[in-house]
Amino acid sequence: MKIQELVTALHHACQNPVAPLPDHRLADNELAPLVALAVNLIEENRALKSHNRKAICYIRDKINQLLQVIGTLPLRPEELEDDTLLTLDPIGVVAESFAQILEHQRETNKNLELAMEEIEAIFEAVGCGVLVVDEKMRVQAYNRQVKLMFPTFTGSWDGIPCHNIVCRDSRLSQQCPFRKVLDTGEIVHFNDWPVGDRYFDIVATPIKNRTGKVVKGVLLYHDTTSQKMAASALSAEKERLAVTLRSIAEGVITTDVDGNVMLMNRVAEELTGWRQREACGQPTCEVFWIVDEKSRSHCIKLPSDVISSGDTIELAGDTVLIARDGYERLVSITAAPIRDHDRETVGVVMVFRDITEQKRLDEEILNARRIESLGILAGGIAHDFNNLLTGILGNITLARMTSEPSTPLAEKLSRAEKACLRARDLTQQLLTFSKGGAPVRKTATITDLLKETALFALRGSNVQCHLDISPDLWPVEVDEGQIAQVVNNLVINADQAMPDGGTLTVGADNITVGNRSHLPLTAGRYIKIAVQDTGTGIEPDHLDKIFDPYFSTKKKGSGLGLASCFAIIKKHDGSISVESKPGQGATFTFYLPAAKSAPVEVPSPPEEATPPGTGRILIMDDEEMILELAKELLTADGFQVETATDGKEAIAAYQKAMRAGETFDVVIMDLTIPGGMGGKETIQRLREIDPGVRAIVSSGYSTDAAMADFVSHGFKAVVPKPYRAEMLLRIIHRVMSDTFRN
Amino acid sequence: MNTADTPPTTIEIDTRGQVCPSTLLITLQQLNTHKDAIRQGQTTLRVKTDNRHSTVTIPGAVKNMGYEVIVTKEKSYYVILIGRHLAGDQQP
Repeated sequence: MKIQELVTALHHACQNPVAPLPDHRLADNELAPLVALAVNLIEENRALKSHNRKAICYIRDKINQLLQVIGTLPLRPEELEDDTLLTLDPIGVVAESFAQILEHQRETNKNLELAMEEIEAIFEAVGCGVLVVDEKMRVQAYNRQVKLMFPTFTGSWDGIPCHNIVCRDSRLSQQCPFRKVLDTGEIVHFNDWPVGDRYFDIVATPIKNRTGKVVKGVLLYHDTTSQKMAASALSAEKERLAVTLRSIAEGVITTDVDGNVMLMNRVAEELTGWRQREACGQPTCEVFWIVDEKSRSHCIKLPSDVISSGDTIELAGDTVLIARDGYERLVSITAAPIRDHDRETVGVVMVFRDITEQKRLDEEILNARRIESLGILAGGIAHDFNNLLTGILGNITLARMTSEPSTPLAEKLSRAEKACLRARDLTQQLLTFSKGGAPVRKTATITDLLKETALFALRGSNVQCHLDISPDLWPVEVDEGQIAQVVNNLVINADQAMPDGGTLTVGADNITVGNRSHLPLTAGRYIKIAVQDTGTGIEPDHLDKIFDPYFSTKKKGSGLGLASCFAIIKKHDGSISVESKPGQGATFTFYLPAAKSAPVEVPSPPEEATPPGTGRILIMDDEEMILELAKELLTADGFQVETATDGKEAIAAYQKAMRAGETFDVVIMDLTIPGGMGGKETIQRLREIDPGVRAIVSSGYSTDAAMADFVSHGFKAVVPKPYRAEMLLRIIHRVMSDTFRN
Repeated sequence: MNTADTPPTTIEIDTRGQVCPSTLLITLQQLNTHKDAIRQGQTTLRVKTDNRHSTVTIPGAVKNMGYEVIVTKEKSYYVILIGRHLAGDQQP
């Protein structure tokens, strides 16, 4: 084989890995070792190339694996030539990238660890109890707080069903918040969930997997027991305050610093006429219109006064509250600033009460004292006054005795006499209100008294008087002066109720009151006197106050008339009442107990027919005028009269007369002798001297029981001053008659 | 190769005409080279590519390495911006 052929064959064998290799034996002897070397080299080259291909395949394969891990496509052979591939050093690149990925992973892990620690810290530090449960409600995680909240279950909670730890009550666990989370897949809130004796607010939050299924739940427990207790205590406190405000008798209004109404209680609503919801936010003066009683010029702005002074203000009683409907009330008000914890003024509270009634009562008490002192004054002068009236009356009687009857002079004297008696009654009315004033009772039929009093009171009036008095009216045991006073008052009132005239009817009848009667009387026999008018009538509001002292609807009324009627009838063990409708007149009815016995007083003979007196009479009185008058009157009637100015003189005169065998038939004694021995003491002594002494007690005025209960004091009769001559004589004749002989 | 002392603000690589994964490998190679500067936020890698698949593979890979990526489309190619704290610095 020639050299050229050998080179071509060797070259071909180099290019083509499967081409046959030249045989060195075919070469010239000299070339044979070289050919053998070349063939060896080619074989070696072929092996190396094959190995290289396998290595590159392996590299590509591994690179593709790595690229797959990174997440990209495999390398295509045409994309990168083997040489470029090796230049690019993909394994180095990927390895380096992996190093970075790992480094990032490490950082991420570190951050995650930190985050976990943070979460762990939060988990423990959070003020609530946290419980993580799986979908079977087994505890997965829990913090310290929740363990403290439910300490009953000791040991590890991991994997324990939460109702064994928390609810411990099958009924409660049926309504379990997490059950609801499982059902709805949503966050659930529960307030005031009771567990044992405690309350919890619970927030249950679902944790879902990628398909949206709830796999876990986070339960957040917040113990609200103390809050709930505080809230209920606060609400109880509020309720107590509200009840207190509602219950107190005072009106309470609070305002803000601008003087706008914030709150008012029920009494304040009643007194102002505003409801709280209407008044809220209104300026004070709109709701609480208060003015000075006298000036009445402007609404008093209490809140601003209190805020500017910073102090409590009291308006004691000269302030008038004008209600929404215009009704006026006297009020006393205390207004004070409301301060917060920092002593800052945040509003004003006004507490007020209606003192209209109280003020009226105060005035009444004042009036009563005034009247009482008047009564004391009247009592003080009554004795002297009645003595004077006795003198006047006696002299009128003497004048009448010397005048021709049925002449104008006799008529005038008769009128003067009646006027004197009216003056006596007036004194009596005043005396009713002084202490004492016990009725001086005697048994009498009051037919004449009724007639006379009614007619007398109506004199000069345009009112017609109609009398309807039962002819067999039972006698009663009364103080005639006082009963006359009652009738007089009733008739005057009726007359005034009929300014344009009308009819007054005075009725009197006998009545027996049974046990079941609605009248405030004990069972028994009574006489019933009715005074009926056709006047204006009485307002229903006034009916129950009409007998109260000092209550009057008249501008100049004293309020004493009906009150004294009431007092007098009461003292007589009777009762008095009124019936009326406005515009339909009024009827006053009073009852007096019938006397148990017939009147002692025998029907008096006509005045002219009084038999002339015979006998000896001793009169004791400190008043010279009375002594002279009585002496003249009785002497004119035929008696022998001696006088004494006090008890000592009287006793001396009586003893002297006894010694002389000329005992007095009757002794008339004044009960009180200023500075000397009075009738009460004198009669005791006289009775010792002469048990058969016949004495008559006489007084102008006395609170002494001896006047009312003269018999037990040893007197035979009583003759109140002033007296008329006829009365005195009648009583003397009666005492001298057989009835009184011992 | 840039000196470590004064790294450019942006390193631009043009991989247009190449497909994935060679674009990825080129990008990763650059990323590895400049990782310190890029990690510190001093440098940003701006990769131009017209291979759509690369806009998925490159961001996926570099995010795993802890970088931020923003892909924007230009007229005839995509720009993949890789770095740290990109949101505050770059226009969307």
